Amino acid sequence: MKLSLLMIPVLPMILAGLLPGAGRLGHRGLPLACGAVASLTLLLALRVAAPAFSGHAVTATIPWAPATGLNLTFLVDGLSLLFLLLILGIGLLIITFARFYLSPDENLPRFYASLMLFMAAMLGIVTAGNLLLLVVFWELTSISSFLLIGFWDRDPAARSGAYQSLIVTGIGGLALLAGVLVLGSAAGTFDITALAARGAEIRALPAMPIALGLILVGAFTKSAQVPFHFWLPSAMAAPTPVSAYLHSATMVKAGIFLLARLWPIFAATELWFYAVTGFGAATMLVGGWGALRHTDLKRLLAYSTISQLGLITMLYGIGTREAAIAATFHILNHASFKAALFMSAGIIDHEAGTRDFAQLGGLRRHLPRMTILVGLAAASMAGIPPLNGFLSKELFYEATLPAHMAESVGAGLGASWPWLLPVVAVLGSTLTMAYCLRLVVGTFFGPDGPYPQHPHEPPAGMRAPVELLATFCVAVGLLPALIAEPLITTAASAVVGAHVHPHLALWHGLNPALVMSAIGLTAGALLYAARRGSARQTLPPRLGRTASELYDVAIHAMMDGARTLTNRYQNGRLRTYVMTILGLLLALAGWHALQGIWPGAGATTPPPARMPMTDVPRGALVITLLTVAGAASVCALYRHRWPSILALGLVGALVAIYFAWLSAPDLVLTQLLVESVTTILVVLVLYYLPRKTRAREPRRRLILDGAFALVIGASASAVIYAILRRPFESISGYHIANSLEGAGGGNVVNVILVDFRGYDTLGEITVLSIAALGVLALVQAGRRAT
Amino acid sequence: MTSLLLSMVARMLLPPALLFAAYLFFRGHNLPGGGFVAGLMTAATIMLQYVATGRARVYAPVDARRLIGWGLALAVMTGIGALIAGQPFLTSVFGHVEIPLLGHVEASTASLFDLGVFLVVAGVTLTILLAIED
Repeated sequence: MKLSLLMIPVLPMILAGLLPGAGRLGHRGLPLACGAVASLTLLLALRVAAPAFSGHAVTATIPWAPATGLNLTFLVDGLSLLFLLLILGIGLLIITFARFYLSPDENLPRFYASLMLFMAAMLGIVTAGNLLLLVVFWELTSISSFLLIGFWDRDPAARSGAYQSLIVTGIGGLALLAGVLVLGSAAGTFDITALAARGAEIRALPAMPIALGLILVGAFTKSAQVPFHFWLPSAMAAPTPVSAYLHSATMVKAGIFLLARLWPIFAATELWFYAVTGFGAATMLVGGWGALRHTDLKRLLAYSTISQLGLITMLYGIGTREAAIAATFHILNHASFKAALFMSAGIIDHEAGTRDFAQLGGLRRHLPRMTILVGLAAASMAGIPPLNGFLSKELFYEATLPAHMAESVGAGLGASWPWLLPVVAVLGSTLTMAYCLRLVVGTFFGPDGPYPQHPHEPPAGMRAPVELLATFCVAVGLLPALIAEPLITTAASAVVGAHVHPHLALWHGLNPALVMSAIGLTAGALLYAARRGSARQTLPPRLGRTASELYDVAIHAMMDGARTLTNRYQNGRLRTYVMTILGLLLALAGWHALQGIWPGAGATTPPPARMPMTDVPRGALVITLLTVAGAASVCALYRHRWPSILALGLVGALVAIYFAWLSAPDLVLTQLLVESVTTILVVLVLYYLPRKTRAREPRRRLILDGAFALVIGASASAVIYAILRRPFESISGYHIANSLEGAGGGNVVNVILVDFRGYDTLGEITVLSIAALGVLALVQAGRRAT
Repeated sequence: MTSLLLSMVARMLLPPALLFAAYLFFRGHNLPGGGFVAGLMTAATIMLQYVATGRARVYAPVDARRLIGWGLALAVMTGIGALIAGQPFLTSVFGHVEIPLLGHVEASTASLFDLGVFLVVAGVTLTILLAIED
C-alpha cells in the first residue's frame, strides 16, 4: 500500500526522466507512452483510493528527515481523489489532443517530458500529506510550467510569458514556504492530518495571521487571483494543449486545492473570510471585465479562467459548508468546460489560422460540429440550464444569501449589508454571460471573417476529447445525482472534515437562486447586445494601470538596482574582493570576541577556565616561526611569482609535519596531497599571468594593505588561540567507541567522513562540484575574451 | 620545456601511482586513506604526466566533468537507497562476506558513498586541470 501510494507521483516522473532520450518513439509513440503511463497511474490511483470513497483517508509515511518534521507523508482522501481524477483524466484527453495538434517537427520529447514532469508534480501536490512536501511539489509545478509555457522558445512572447509566470508563482512559492514554516514551527508539526485535527488550537496561535497571510499569497499567485492575475494571460503564448491542461484543470487549481486543504484549519477565522472572499470576489469581477476587453480567443479564455477561479476562491472564503460544497462542485465543472473550450480554441486556431476576433466569425458554416460543442461548453460556463455549470452556479448563489451565511464568521457582514455578496455574485454572472456570448457569436456567427486559411472540420482524434467533455457537461447537468454526487460528496466531506450530503439536482424549485440566475443571464445578454454593434472595434475602458505594467516597472527597477550595486562591488579587482571577504570575517569575529570580553555587549557567563596548551619543543617552534616569517617575506618582497608560491607550499608541508607529530596520518596524507595539487594548479595558472608582479605600488596603498594584512593575521591567530584554549567536551570518544561497532570501519576519520557526518560530506562535495563548474566557466570566459 | 628523463620517469610511475590510489581507496575504511585522498592521488598522478609531457587529456580518457556528475549521483543514490529501505536518508548498512582467495571482506554502503567522494574529488581537480590546459 505504502509503495503504490508513493508510485502515484513517481510513475510519471520516471517516464519524464526517460522521455528526453526516447525521440525514436516519434510523434505517435511518444503520446502513446505518456497515455499508457497516465492510464496505469489512474488505475493505481483508483485502487489505492478505494477506501477514500467510503470516507477513509489513506496515508503512508516514509521518514525523510524526521528530526526536522520533514517526512514523505502521502495522504489520499476524497479531495485528493477528485483532483487525481481531474489531473489524470483531463491529462489523458490532453495527450490525445496534443498527438494531433503538435506538428511532428517540434521537439516532442522535450514537450512530453515536461508535460509528464508537470503531471507528476501536480499528483504530488494533491497526494502530499506533509506541508513541506507539498511545497516541494508546488515549486516543481512552477518549474515544469515554465518549461511548458516557454516551449516555443523562439517566440519572445513565449519566453517573457514563461518568465513572468515563473517569477510571480516563484515569489508566491517563497511566501508559501515561509508561511508553512511559521505555521509548522508554531504548531509543532507539518503533518496535514495532525494540523487539521488541531484547528481550534492553531486558530488561537499568535503567529496565525502571519502564517495564513503568507500562505494566501502563495495560493493567490498560483491561482491567478488579483493582483497577481496578470501572469495567466501572458502565459497564453504556450501551445494550446499546455493552456488547456495547466490553465483549466491543474496548475491554476493548485492554489484552490491548497485553500480547500486548509479550509478546516482556517475557514473559521475572520482574516480568512475577509481576505479570501474579498480577493476572490474582486478577481471574479476583474477577470470578467478583462474577458470583455480582449480580442484574442485564448486571452478571453484566460480572463474567464481568472474570473471563474475568483468565484471558487470566494466560495471557499465564505466558510460555510454549503459554500464549500458549491466550490468543490464548481472545480469539477470548470475543469470540464474550460478544458473543452481551450482545446476548441486550439482547433479554431489550427483550422482557421487565427484566433483573433477581428479575423473570425461565421465559422458555423465551416465547423458546424465545433459550433455545437463550443456552444455547449460556453453555455455551461455561463450557467444556462440544463448544463453542469448551471447547477454549481445555483449553489453559488444560494451560498451568498444572508440566510446561509448565518453560521459563518461573516454573519456580521451578512447582517449589515445583506445585499453585498448576492449583488457581487449576480454582477459576476452578468459579465460571464456577456463574454460567453461574445465568445460564441464572435467566433461562429455573423459574416465570414478574413481567415488566413480555409477552415474545415478537424481530424476526429482532435475533436474527440472536446466531444467527451461536452457530453460530460450535459450528462452531469441532466443526471447530477447519478454521475457527480458520489464524487462530490466524498470530496466535499474531505474538505470540511465532516460527512456532508449535497443534493445535486437540476430543479430546486422557484427560489431566490433561480431568480438571481435569471437576472444574471438577462443582464448579461443585454450587456452584450448593447455593445454588439461596436463589438469588433471599441473595447470597454481599461481599469487604470494594469498589474502587468506595474510588474514590468518593478522588474526593471530591480534589474537596474542590482546592476548598479553589482558594478559597485564586483569591480574586477581581486584586492577589493579579498578585502571585502576578510573584512567581513574580521567584523564577525570581532563582534563575538567583544561579546566574550566586554560584558556590556551581551556577555552572560563569566569566562570559563582555559585549556592548557600542548607542549611543543622549543626548537620546533623556532623552526616554524622562521619558516613562516621567511615565506611571508618572500611573498611580500620578491616580485617574481614562482618563489612566492613555492615558499607558501613549504609552509603547507610544515603543517603536514605537525600533523604527523600529533599522530594524525590521515590529515598528513590529505594535507600533503592538497598542498601539492594546489601548488601545481596555481603554477599552471601563473603561465597566463605576467611573470612579475606590478613594479610600483603607491606608497599609501602599500601601507594600507600592509596594515590590513597585519590586523587580519593577528585576529586570525587570536581566534585560533581562543578556540584552542576553550574547554569543551570532546565528542571523539563517542566516535572512537562506535566506529567499528556501528559502522564497521576501523578508521575513525574515514567513518566520520562517509557515515557519521555523511550529510556534511555530501554538502562539501556538492560545493566542490559547483566550484569546479565556476572555475571552468571563468577559464572559458577568460579565454573567449582574449 | 619537457625533459626526456622526467617524462620517462613520469610514464613509469603512472601504473604504480594509480595502483597506489586504488590501494588508498580500499584501505580507507580501516586504515589511513579513503575516497578523498585517493581522488587527490589520482589527480596528482595525471598532473605529473601533464607537467612532464605537456599533455593531460591523453591520460584522462573520460570526461572529467562527467566524473563529477556520476560521483554526486552515486553519493545521492546511496542516500536514497537508505530511504527506499525505509531508513532515514544516508543511513549506512554494512555486512561481512567471505570471498574465495580474498578471504574476509567487509561490504558497506558507506564504501559506495566514498566512491562517490572519490569520483567528485578526482573529477573536480581534473576538470580544473583540463580547463587550464586547453
